[in-house]
Order: sequence, then structure tokens, then C-alpha cells
Amino acid sequence: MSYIRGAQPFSPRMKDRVTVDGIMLEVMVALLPALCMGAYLFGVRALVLAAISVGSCMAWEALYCRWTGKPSTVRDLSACVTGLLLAMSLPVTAPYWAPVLGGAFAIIVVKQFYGGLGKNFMNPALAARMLLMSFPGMMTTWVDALDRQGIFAGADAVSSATPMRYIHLGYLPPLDLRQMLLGQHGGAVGEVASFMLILGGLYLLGRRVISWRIPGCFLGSVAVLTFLFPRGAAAPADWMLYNLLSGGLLLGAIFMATDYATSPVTPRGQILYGVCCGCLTVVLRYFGSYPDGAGFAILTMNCCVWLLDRVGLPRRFGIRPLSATRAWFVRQMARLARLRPVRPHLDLFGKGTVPGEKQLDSIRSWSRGLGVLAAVAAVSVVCISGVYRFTGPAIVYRESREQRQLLEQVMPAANLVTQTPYVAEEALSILAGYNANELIGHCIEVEVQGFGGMLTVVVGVDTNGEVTGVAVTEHSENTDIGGGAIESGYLEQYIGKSGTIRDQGYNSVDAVSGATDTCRAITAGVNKALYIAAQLDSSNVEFVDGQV
Amino acid sequence: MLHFIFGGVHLEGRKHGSQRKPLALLDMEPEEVVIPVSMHAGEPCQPVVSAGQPVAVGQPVARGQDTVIHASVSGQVTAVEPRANPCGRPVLSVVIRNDGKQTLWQGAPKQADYTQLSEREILERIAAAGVVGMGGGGYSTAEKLLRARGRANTLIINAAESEPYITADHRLLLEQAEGVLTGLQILMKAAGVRNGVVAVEGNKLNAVEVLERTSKRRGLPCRVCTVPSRYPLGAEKQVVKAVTGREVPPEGTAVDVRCVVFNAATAFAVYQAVAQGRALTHRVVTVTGGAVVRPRNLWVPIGTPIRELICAAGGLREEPDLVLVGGPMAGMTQTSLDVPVTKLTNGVVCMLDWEHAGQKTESVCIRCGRCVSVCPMHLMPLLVDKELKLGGDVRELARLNTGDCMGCGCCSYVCPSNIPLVERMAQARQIVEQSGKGEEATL
Ligand code: SF4
Ligand code: SF4
Repeated sequence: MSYIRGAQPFSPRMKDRVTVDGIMLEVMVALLPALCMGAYLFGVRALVLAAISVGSCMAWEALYCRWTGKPSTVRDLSACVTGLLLAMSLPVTAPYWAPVLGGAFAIIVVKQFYGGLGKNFMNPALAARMLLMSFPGMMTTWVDALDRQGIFAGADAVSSATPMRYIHLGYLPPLDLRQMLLGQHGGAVGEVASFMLILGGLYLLGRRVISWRIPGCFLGSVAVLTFLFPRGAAAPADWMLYNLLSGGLLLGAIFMATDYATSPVTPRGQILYGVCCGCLTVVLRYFGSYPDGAGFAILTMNCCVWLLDRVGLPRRFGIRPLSATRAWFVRQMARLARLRPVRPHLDLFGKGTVPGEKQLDSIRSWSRGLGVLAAVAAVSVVCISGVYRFTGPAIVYRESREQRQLLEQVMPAANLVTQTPYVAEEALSILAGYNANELIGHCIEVEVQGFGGMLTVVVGVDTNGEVTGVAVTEHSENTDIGGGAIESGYLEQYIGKSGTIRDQGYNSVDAVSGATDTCRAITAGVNKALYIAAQLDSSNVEFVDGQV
Repeated sequence: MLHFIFGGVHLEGRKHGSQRKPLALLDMEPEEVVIPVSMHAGEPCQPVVSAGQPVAVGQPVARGQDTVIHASVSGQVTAVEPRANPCGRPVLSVVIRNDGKQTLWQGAPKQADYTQLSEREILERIAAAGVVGMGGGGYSTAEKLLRARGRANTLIINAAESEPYITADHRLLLEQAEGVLTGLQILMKAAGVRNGVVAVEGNKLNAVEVLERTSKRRGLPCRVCTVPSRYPLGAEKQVVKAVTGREVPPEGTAVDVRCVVFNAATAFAVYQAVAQGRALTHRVVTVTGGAVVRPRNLWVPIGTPIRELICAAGGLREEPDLVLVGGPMAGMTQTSLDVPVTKLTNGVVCMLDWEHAGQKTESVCIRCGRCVSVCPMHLMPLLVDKELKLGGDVRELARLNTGDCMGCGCCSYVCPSNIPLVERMAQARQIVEQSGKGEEATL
């Protein structure tokens, strides 16, 4: 052994067998079980989607290298991994052009424009997914598991509520934990099979392709936060488990956050990165307007990797943290002693440096890491909660919870409502009610003139034109006079009625004494709704393009 | 108790070829030995013999301010001229033609009971025997002891031997445990240290057992510390950290944290010098590798050309791709088989093409972070590489503490993109040292 200082070091004659394409292959192997489970749950279309995605990513990479005259980098298989990850974060109903477009964005814009493998600052697959999310409907139609899609199906698939949707609303999903583990619910092709994703993660850990630091800290901080702050009536442990198993969290934490190019390389940086991703995910899930925050959290933290690497620079061997801090103070004192009042000279754009790079050193020593991140996290929390407070999401969130209660009252047989392509002039909204993929009727919201002002009435009408339930959602009636009319006892009388309901006699309901005007108004509303329902398929109803 | 070591790699040991082979003498005495005048750290020695002069085993042939170099065979000096050396450049060497008589030098000190010798006498004997750090450092042992006197409280015998292929120290421990442990006692006495530790890697448990048995039965107190089998635990700073938990400060030596470290072979040489009055003229060398017919551990006179060693190991079965002096991680590639064994040579490895990495084309860094997580010195080789490619800003490089790199090669070993990171680190260190900005390094 020759450890002589100053002696020419010779490169080692032995070499680890690991290679770049070997690593990429291992990642793909680890992804396969989840993909297969996705194919089992969602049909062959999932596999076709994956094949198209992988193929197009590799093709874009080859084409780009060709165009720019760079040596071809297809053989390092990194484009393959990007393609696979992209396919796995798409819903099975995504049209086939989606992964092709997404692949172009991921490979050319996100990866190659920034210098290719190892130089991109955002996870290409995730960025492409976010791009595709801006297409209406594509990333919000989640078919239920075992509702298998053929190769050319998809466009008319029925959307179902994903567990993430429930969690976003503050409920536990109505699913077993086992179902959650096996992925028996709606969601993206590769995201649902939690068990398989965990298996893949363990494989990668065992093969030392990834370290425990990022996924461990990511999932750990999500677990801690959700355990400490459960929502709704859920038990903390249940809430935590469902949170960990739903949405893109596992795929994100195990496969996307650990992407080499876009995660920190220093051990401390990796820990901070994981923790920040986890906290941001929980914050976005609780306060964001989009159900799953994992993807956004990872993309956000991707942009901070440079900073995290700086902050997490390893401690110099032989210098204990305490003495390091002491030495830093001594240096700063010396600097302060040299201080002269001069015009501030900001060397912002020096050669090869980034604005403010020098200042970062002192921040690092001073805060030993946590200060900056705490500040970043605090600022994000303030921004996000500000956005939450002053804009729509809060209202949307409350409304959707009320909507579920309303559905119970108006169309008890339905387990799901979705928007319809229909609009009618008199109706405030028309929703289609489904029970296990079968259309069973429509919920029509109408407005009528009541005794004390406008009444909003929601009427459920089944496919036979019969009323399945009535609810009054807004009114300004005096509760002493008209109150009896808007109680469920009275409203239940409408169930089963069809045609035109009269105020008295044949096909009528018994008015509540003292609230006759309100009862009339409700009857008028129900009649209006029945009329609209009868007209739904005819020409005076406008058809608008698949607006979801 | 063991302390946590950051970084390092688990290497394939490949020691099975020679680890069961007992120490053996060369079947045929070398006809000619070539003794370089520089086999240690510091100024080269000046030859004190001239061509034509007869010499005996143990007779000094060169002296310098740091150490003495002795003849390892008896015979006649045929030349004092530059000859090929394992370090790559020709070095002034004393060439001795062996007469095969093994005449001992008359001026050598007598055998002695080390317990009766004063510390001063011990130091004198060690210095006169020309003992230097035989693990690769090459520092004069007597000087190191002098510096450690009164400042160290732990003396560590480093027998970790974490390089693949090499089994020289392992065999020495197994067969000469008493000598090594006596050497430890002598060193402890000379350094005025009470606490003696032998650090052995966990893959040599038989050596651990032998050491503990010998230490009990012969009443040679020492603590045997089993360290993880991870390269580069053989490095001084890492051994100190593993055994005592103390970190040697940058630019410092083990004495700064009140430790002093000697190699197992050095301890044995000290035993021979003090108790038996024999100068450092022989050492253990492992001859191994896929190209060697019968890998062996040999007890050879210093100055023997490695060609003779390979012959003693049954010759080569195939043309080797690489001949290394030292281990495959930090050893030096040889172009000629005429280079001699020096005091620092612990192995000769003849590798076939499937055994070594070969030349792989470098590709771009994928930021996998492996180099950071294996660097035992807490460095960031990937940032150094990036900075060099950006033009090598001195301040930026100094910030990355390039001066701390000890060239262990772990980073190159793991890099999936085959970037020669060790070379980049050396290059960066040179840039920083030349500009004299090293002290700007961050903490
Ligand atoms: S060669 Fe230098 S940079 Fe590389 S692992 Fe060893 S000490 Fe670290
Ligand atoms: S090991 Fe090689 S590829 Fe990985 S980060 Fe270091 S330099 Fe880059």
C-alpha cells in the first residue's frame, strides 16, 4: 500500500462491476412488478402504453443525438427508465399520443437541453407528467381497478374516485388496507400496486442502487406528519397508513425522488431532501387544490438540490463540528475586524459562479444546515396557506364534502356522480349518477321562486323519469313558516313520482300546513327538473365537448 | 469497542491463493541484489561502499540523515549506479553479487534482552537497524517514536491489510505472532505508551486467535481489535479512527490525537533489531495473482529482483496483463521484472486480463453519489471533477479540501461512469498546492 502523501496516486486496478446501464437496468427490473400488477389490474392497455412510452423516449433521445451530432446515449438506458416512469404515472385511459408528447418534453426539453444525463435539474418523467396534467380530462379520469381496458378502449371509460381523492377530502377511502396494498383501486398504472413498489424499493436497496436516506426520510416524514395531524375522524395510525399507500407517494419516494441527477449527492443533503419532500407532500395534500402533492413536492425540491448539496457538504475529516463552528467564528471575527465601510460590491455574475454563491458558505457554516431549510419550508407553508385562505380551494373542498351528503339524499343508489356533457338553460347543474359503472339517473339542480326568495332544489331523477330524492340546498324561507317543507319527512313524498306533479288530487303530495307556498315552490322545482330530465336526450339540450 | 468509519468499499479479497501458504525462503538465492538508496520517506541515503568492496549480511551500504540501508546478502559490490526501481524512475542503487555464503557482519549488535535495555538503547538499535514504516509510509521508526514520546497514549499495530491479494502481514501474524507482539512491547517501551492495540481485519480471525493465545501464554499484554473488512482500513487515519474514535486533523499525523501507528511488519523488524540485533535486511512478500503458478509468501532479502520471486512461485502460467508491486488498489504498475524488492514492498501481483479493470472509456457523471458515500476522507470527488472541467478555479477547488485526499482509490473503484477520480483529485491538489491557497479550505 502506498499512502505516501504527494506520491502519484495510481488508479485502482480493480473496479466495481457497476455500470451506468447496469444501474438503469436494475431500476427497470425493480419497476417491473408494479407495472405487471398495473397490467393485471387495468388490462393490456397498460403494457401497450408502457411500450409506447419507452419506445418514444428512446426514439427521441436517438433523434436528438442525431440532430445535434452528439454521440448517441441511447445505450445507457436512462431514456428507458424515464419512459417507464412516465408510463407508470399515467392513467390507463391516457391516449396513446400522451406518452409520445410527454417523452418528447421529458427527453428533449428537460433532459437534453440541460446537457443530458446527469445534468438535468428536474426529473424528466415527473416534469412530463405535470405537462400532461394540463390537458383537461386526461389526468383526472381514473378507471377502477379490474375494469380492464382493451388496447383501443379508454376514451369512454368511466371515471372512479381514487383513494387520493378521499384523502384529499379528509376521509379514509372505503377500502381495506389489503386492497390498498395490492392496488385494487383507481389510479395511475404504476402507482396503485403499493406492495410491488415496496418490493421494488427493497430490491434497489439490497442491490445498493439507492440508499435508504431519501426514501426513508421522505416516507418517514410523511408518516410522522400524518400521524400527528390526522384529519376527519380517522384514527391517526389508519390515516397514516392510508396516506402512505395512496397516490403517487410510493412511486415518487422510491423511484422518482431517488433519481440520481435530480437528488443531492451528499448524505446530509439527501436526508434534508427527503424530509423536505415529505413535509411538502403533506402540506400540499392538506392544503393544495390538486389531490396528490407528491409529484409537485419532488419537482419543487428538485430545484433546491444545488442548495441542499451545498448545505450538506460533508464535514471535513478530522474537524469535529464543534471545532468547525469555533473556527468559523474565529474567522468571522477576523473578518469583522478587517471591516471597512466601503461601497458594497456585489459580484453577482462572476465567472462560473451563481449569484450569491459566496454567501452560501457562511450560511452553511452558521446554520449547519437546518436554518435555511427551515426558512424555505416556512416560506412555502406561509405561501401555500395564504393561497389556501384567499382562493378557491377551501371552498371547493367544503363544497365537495357537502355534495356527498347531498348525493345520499337525492340518489341513494348511486355511489358516484360525474359531470355530464349536457347543459340545460334552466338547470344550474346536471350530474350523472352511476352505480358500478351503470348510469342510473341524473341529479338536476334548479332554482325556483319560493315564499321568501329563491330556492335551490336538487332533484334526483332515475332513467325511468322517476324521482329518487329531493333536497333543498339553499333557501331564504322563514324557518317558522316554511321550515316544515324543507324537512326530509315532506321531501320523501316525492320519491317515486313521475310526470307532472300537481298541487292536489291525482299525482300530488300532501302540503305541510302553514308552508303551502314553499311546498308549491318545491313542487314547481321538481316538475322543472322532471321536464329537464325528460328533455335530456332531445335537441334543445346543448352538447358540449367532454368537459369534466 | 469499535468506532464508526464513514465510507470505504467492500472488496473481493482474492486472498485464497496465498493465505494458507506458509512463509518460505527463496528456493535459490538471488545471484545479484539491487539495493536502492531510497526506500523511505525523506532524503536519499549516500552510498558508503564502492564497487569491488566485499560486504557481509547486515553491513551498512548507505547512510543518510534519516536511516541506514544494509546489505542483505554477502558478496561483492559490483556497481553503484542508477537501476530500475518500482517507483518508475531509475534510482541510485548498490548492486551486490551474492557469494552464497551468508557471512554475517561482525559489527552488528549482540542479542539482548529488551527488558534490560534502556529506552535510549532501544531507539539507537532501531535506528541502526534502518527500520522504517513497512506499510508504505516509509517514515523512520526511530524518529516516529521520538516524536511520540510523552505525547501518545495509544500504540496501534496496524495489521488490517485491507488490500486484496496481499497476505504478507497475515502470514507474519500467524507464524511470528510472538515476534510481532514482542516488537509491540519494545515499541511501547520506547514510546512510553501503556496501551497497545493490534488492529486486525475481521477476515483474519485465525490471526486474531493466534494473537490472543500468544499474548496470554507469553505474558505479552495487548488488546486485539477486530476492525471491519473494508478497504481502506489499512490507512493510518482510518485505523486510528476505528480503534480509538479519534480523527486525525487535516495535515496532521496520528501523534496529534495521541496515537502512534506501526505496521505489523515494522513491529517484527523492531523485534529483530532490538532482541536479535539483526538489521532490516529481509521482509515478507506475497507473490500472487492469476498469472502465477503457485502463489506464495516469501521471506526474501531486500534488493531481490521480482523476477526471482516469480520464479520461486513456480513462474508464470501466462503472460500477465499487469505486474504490480503492492496491492491492486494503490500498487504501482511495473514495466520490467528487474525492479527490486524494497523495504516497502509487501506484494507482487501478476494479474491476468479478467482480474483487473482494464481501460474503460470515461463517460459523463450521472451524479449517483457513490464517490461521495465511499470517500473515507469525506471529500466530494464529483465536484472536483466538475470544477476541473469548468476550468479549475483555485478557490473553488481549495474549498473542496482536495489536500485531504489520500489516494486510496475508492472513488474510482465505484464510479459507474469510469471517471478516473483519483487522478482528478491529484491534479486538483497540485493546482491548489501550486497556488498556495490551501489554507482557504473550508471546515
Ligand atoms: S482517492 Fe481521495 S477522493 Fe477518492 S475516495 Fe480516496 S480519499 Fe476520497
Ligand atoms: S461515482 Fe462517478 S458517476 Fe457517480 S457521482 Fe461520483 S463521479 Fe459521478
